[in-house]
Amino acid sequence: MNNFSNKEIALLEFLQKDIPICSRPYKLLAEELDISEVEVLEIIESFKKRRVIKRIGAILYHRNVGYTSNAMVAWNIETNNIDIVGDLFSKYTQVSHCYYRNSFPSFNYSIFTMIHAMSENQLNELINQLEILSDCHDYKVLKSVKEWKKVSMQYSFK
Amino acid sequence: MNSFEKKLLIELQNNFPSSETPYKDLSEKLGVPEEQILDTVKELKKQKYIRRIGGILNSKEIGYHSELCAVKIPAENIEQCALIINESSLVTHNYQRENEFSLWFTFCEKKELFEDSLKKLENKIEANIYRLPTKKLFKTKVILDFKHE
Repeated sequence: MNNFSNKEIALLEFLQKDIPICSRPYKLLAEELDISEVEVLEIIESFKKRRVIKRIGAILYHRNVGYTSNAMVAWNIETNNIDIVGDLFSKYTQVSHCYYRNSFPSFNYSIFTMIHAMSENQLNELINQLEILSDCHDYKVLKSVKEWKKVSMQYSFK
Repeated sequence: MNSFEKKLLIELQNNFPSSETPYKDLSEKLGVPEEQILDTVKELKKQKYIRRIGGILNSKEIGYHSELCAVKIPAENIEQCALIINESSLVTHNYQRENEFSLWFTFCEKKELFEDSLKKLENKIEANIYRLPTKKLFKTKVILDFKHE
C-alpha cells in the first residue's frame, strides 16, 4: 500500500469528486490547495504510475445513455480453463467487469461478468456468443431488476 | 444524443487529458471550438448522461478491500432490506436481481476494519451475507462506446 503526503491526500480528496468543468480545472484545484498547477499535474502523473488512480475520465449514467439491458452472468468454468475463458470474455467491450470469484456452496459459479447492452435482444445475443466461445453451458443470468444504489466510493484517507 | 455528443462521451471516458487545458486538447482532437466542448459537457452533466468527471481510484492501492455480497431476501422484504443496505456509505452498488439471492451489493472498507464493518451490516439486516471475494481480476473497465446500437 502507498503512503501519502498531506498534499497527495488533499488532491485525492478532490479527484474522487468532480473535477470542475472549465478551461483550466487543474489550476482551480491548485489554487484551492495552494500549490502550483504544474505540481498538481506531476502528482497526478505519479498517482497513475503508482496505480493509485486507474485513470481520469467521465463516468456515465449507463441507463440514461441507452444501456438499458444489463446483467450479471455467472459461469461455471472448470478450474483449468479459468484463465483462457476470463481473457476471452474480457476482450468484449460490452463486458465491463470480469472476475474469478470464490463463491458459496449453493451458488457454484466461478467467473462473473457484467454485461451492458442497449436492448434485451442484444444482451441475449451476446450471452449466446459467450456461451459458444467458452463452451460453457452451465451459467446463470441475473438481470438487474432495479438499481437501488450506484454511487462513487468516497474514500477516507485519515 | 447526436453523433458529436457520442464521440465526445467516448473521448471523455477513455482519454481525458491530464494537461493544463484538457478541454482545449479535446477541442483540437475533435475539431470543435473549446467553448462548444465545455457547453456540451455541462449540458450532458445537467441532463444526467454524465455522472461524474474525476479520478477513478484503485481501492487496493489506498488500503481498502472490497467484496461482492449477496443476500437471500424474500420479495416482500426486499425494499426494506435494500434501504438499510443503502444507508451504509461503504456500499456503492446495490442491485436487485432475478434470483433467490435477490440483492447484490459491493462492500468497500479499509482492510483492517472490513470484517467488523461487514458483520455490523449483517446484524442490521438480520440476514446471512453471502460473500464472493475476488480470486482474480480479469477486467474492470466500463467504457460505453455506442457501437452496438
